[in-house]
Amino acid sequence: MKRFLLFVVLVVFALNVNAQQKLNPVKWNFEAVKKSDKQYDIVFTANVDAPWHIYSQFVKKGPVPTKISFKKNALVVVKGGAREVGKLEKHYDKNFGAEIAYFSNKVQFVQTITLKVASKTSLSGEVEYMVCNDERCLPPTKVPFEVAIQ
Amino acid sequence: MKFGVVVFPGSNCDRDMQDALEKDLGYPVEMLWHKDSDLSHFTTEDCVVLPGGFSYGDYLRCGAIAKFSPMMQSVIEFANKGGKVLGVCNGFQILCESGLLPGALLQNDNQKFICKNVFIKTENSEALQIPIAHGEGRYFVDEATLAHLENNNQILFRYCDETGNIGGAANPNGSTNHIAGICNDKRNVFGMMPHPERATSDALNNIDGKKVFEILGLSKS
Repeated sequence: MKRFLLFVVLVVFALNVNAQQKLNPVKWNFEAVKKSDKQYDIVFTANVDAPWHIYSQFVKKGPVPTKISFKKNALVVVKGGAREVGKLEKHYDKNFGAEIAYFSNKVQFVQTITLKVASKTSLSGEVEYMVCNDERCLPPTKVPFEVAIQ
Repeated sequence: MKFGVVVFPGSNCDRDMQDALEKDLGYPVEMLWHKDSDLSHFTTEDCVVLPGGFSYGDYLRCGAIAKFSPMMQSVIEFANKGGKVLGVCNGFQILCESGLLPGALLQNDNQKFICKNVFIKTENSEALQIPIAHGEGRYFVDEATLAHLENNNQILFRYCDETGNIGGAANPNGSTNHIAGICNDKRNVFGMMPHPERATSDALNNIDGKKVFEILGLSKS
């Protein structure tokens, strides 16, 4: 009987872990918007399911901030950081002991890049982010991206 | 279609290439000695292969001496007439030294000889597992030429991971824009650092090299 109960507990635990792994409340979209001959905005759009929220790049303490990293491309200059376009919400989180800045529903991270020589190429890299709701957080996630620059 | 494989002093992948082309891909192959220069029996339907190795001991610079061999003078002429030429590893270095392909192959960014399986892909293909074995495989080219290669779709293969994500840790040697292989403007001269001839047999548990020859238009599926 003990073995049977242990088996049931393990199965329930495994199913729960599996369900959490499949949870993916953020849908990402990546695109390049041409601004001039050699200048483009790389737009990272995060559509976040309710009741989850994603954190700003500038969170200093507590949850993992959103972080965008680019792989080296000899034709591209990435200067400065990405702008955040969305409704920034701030509140003091007693669990983290700090004021936390985050976005719900939708946010865009916009990185301006410059081509050294006008040409088509592609820019790839990775977005690391973390989402939480009022009850729990999901583990930090890394999403690779590749954006064609035409 | 037939293949010619040039044998330089120091070539060590010539027999692997011959085996792959003859036994695994089923094409006739003629070995071409570096001191000879007769390519009159090769047409533009045929392909001359410069195999991997250490031609002339890699003295001076990899491929720098091989470009002066009698056979290479004929290969340059053959390529300029539209004949197909494939350079693998040291063969790629010779093609760059000969001016048939732009750019140069510099020492790997970790300063070490690397011998392992890597993944490469074209713009549209899946990731293909192909071995590399080189100390000077870091493709370098100036920005204007790189832009020309990108605009003209001359970058044939880039290093990627097994899921197809290009660059990052998947780039084994620090190659510019993760380039593993390119072609010339006329698309009849091909150069690549990975060794497709080492991945054409079920006995080696890898036949992704066959797909590389198909992508290059040098073999039919």
